[in-house]
Amino acid sequence: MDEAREAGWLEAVGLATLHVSLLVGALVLALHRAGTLGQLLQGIGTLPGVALFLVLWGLTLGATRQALVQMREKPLREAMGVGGVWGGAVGASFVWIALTASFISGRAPPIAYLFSLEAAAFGFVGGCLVGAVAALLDTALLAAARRLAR
Amino acid sequence: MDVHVAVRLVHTLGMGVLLGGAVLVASLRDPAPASRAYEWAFWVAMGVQVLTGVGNLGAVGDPGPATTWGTLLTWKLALVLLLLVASALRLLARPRLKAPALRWAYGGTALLLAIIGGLAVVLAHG
Repeated sequence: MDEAREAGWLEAVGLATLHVSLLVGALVLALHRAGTLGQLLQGIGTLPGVALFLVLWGLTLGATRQALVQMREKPLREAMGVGGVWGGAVGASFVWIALTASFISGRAPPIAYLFSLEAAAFGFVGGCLVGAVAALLDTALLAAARRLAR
Repeated sequence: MDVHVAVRLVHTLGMGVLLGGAVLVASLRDPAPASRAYEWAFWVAMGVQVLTGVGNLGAVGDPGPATTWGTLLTWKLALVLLLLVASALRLLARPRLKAPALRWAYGGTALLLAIIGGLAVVLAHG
């Protein structure tokens, strides 16, 4: 792998891990403060939780790599649009994969699968919001990093 | 090996990679070459730390935010979020930073990790 390509992948791995970890970390913190974290974690279980995190991490890595290439040197509003679309793709895919896995494992009744497209649509909307905020954060971090290095 | 023991083991080893690597890079005369390898290790290990950290919480149980343990956990989670944002800034600025600034960046990372690790030790021992 040449140096520029490796640097691009390192940036994507770093920022994708930042996005997933901030999202999960902020959710865990909010649920802990609300006093409902223990119940939720015990409901999910360790191995399904690990699998869900790995799926989200993998999807976010692919989306972040593509978004970074497309939003480079773009104005903020366009960058947030690119981030929003890729975030939506991650949200919809994640919800669909999680639902499919829960039906296959027998955790959810098969009839509920009829609503998987609607659930994926909600995932898309939520993902769009998260993706746009992530693009805003990335743009701010890039600007701050340039300023720091001056 | 029990799955919860494995999760805890990976979490502890991950902290060793993060903290040991940051101290090592911060102590080098020219940290630039080693810093690239460390960034790869850092971000993979950080993802694994968040994953195993949540797994640990599921195994240990959350006694709620009002207890001393809960207050310490709130501080630890807040510091982890701070570490993530500061580390992303370090990652993006790293290619343009000179050796003294790099040493400060990795020294700061090590300090923050040591505080988080200290809180983790207190939490692990109740």
